[in-house]
Amino acid sequence: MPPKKRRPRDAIVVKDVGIKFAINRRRRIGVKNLLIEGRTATTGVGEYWPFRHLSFRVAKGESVGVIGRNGCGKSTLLRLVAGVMLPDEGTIQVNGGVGAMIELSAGFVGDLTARENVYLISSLHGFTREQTDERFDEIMRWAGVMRFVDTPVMHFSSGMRARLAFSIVTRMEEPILLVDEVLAVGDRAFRRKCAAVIENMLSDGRTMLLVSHNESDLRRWCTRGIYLRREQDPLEGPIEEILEMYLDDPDQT
Amino acid sequence: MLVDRGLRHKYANSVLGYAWSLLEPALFISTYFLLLKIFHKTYPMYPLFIASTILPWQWFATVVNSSTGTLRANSRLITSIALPREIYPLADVTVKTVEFALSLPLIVVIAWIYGVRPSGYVFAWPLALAFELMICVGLALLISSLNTVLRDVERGIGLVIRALFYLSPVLYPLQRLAGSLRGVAAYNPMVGILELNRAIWFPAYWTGWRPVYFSAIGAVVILLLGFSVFARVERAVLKEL
Repeated sequence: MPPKKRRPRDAIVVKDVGIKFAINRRRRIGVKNLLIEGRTATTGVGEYWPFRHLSFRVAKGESVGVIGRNGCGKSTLLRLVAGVMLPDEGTIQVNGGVGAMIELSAGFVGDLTARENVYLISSLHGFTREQTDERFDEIMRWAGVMRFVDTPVMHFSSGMRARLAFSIVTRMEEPILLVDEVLAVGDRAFRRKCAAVIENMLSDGRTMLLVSHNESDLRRWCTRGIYLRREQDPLEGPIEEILEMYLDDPDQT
Repeated sequence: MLVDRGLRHKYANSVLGYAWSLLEPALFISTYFLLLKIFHKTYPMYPLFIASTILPWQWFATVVNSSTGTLRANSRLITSIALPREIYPLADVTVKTVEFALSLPLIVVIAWIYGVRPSGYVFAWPLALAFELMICVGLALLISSLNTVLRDVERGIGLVIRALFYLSPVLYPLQRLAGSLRGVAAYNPMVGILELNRAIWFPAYWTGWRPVYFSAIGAVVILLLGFSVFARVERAVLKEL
């Protein structure tokens, strides 16, 4: 039996992270502030911090679920980990490449065709044209959009888009996977296919951060959970406990 | 490596065909030629005169005009894949630079028709190109990031570019300005660049190196400003996308 005590290098380390947004549309943008501090100046009242003081670690190969009500910052958290948003407080360290599927998109450009998007996205993930060629058919076949390879993605239905996005992201072979609500949109067959892929990847030792409202999915795949509570300090623990707290929360009606 | 691939993709999708790169400036030149012919304000070999400055000007103007939208146009990619955000405006500048390069044969053809050979100033041309590239990169970073948080920038920039077009010696040589005006005009970093471009074909209009010094200073300042503002505004920009 391998020594279990040795802690593997963490895949994701989040330390005391917080982010704020402006509530009103008309932010008071102090140009001076913006240039000096790189932040928009907002009055304390108009600020909304979905979460603050968020700290957690995700070990390599671990799968962590993120739960919370709408607007509690689940997608924002994934964005922060993906490095496509910057926190206002704290630090985030990610060891390894990230494949992110946030809000059902892998970064599609609407007026490009499915084919062009696959090549564009995989080139941005560091694949050469030849490497993409090898994967292309598989990506399309899995997504079930073979007939529409040359259709602009903006004409895709949201389900088709989600399938394609999931297919691309999972084949980028990044060690860390961020998944936001994929399973919520697809039909039954697609959900089952997704589940098989996710299980495969987890047994491959990949790390996953999963946002979901589906308790059984969370129980099935995640060992730990993070419960983001609007404007309160987030909770973190074994998935069962976290789910229980989430379901028992009196705020949650 | 990543940047390069991103660029090739952009480039493949942006260039509608080589013909456009020649046709557009050619139409520009003929429009101004006709317009100014009517007002009897032309200079000898006016088509070459305009071509030598309007192509570099178009390079600058297209960069500035398109930079207002680059980040928003790429918002899906920016919010899905973690890459240095600078590459999006830089890729845009690269596309415009390639288009500029593709339009250059037009000048050569016009010069050949008139039988004009480039003067010794052609050796200083790389300076003009380098300064203009620096200005383009700096402004693209500056405007693309600021416009995302302050939409007013977009409205203002069109007007500024239009005004600057007439304030810069594109359709006329700097020589035509009175001495005092000339001194003021030299503060505009585009002046030295345009004058240098023109001197390649029309050394007689050259007024000295002073504007070029200002171009050099302006280019460095704008470039540094562009990178530093972009880095500072980035956090706010990402929340807007």
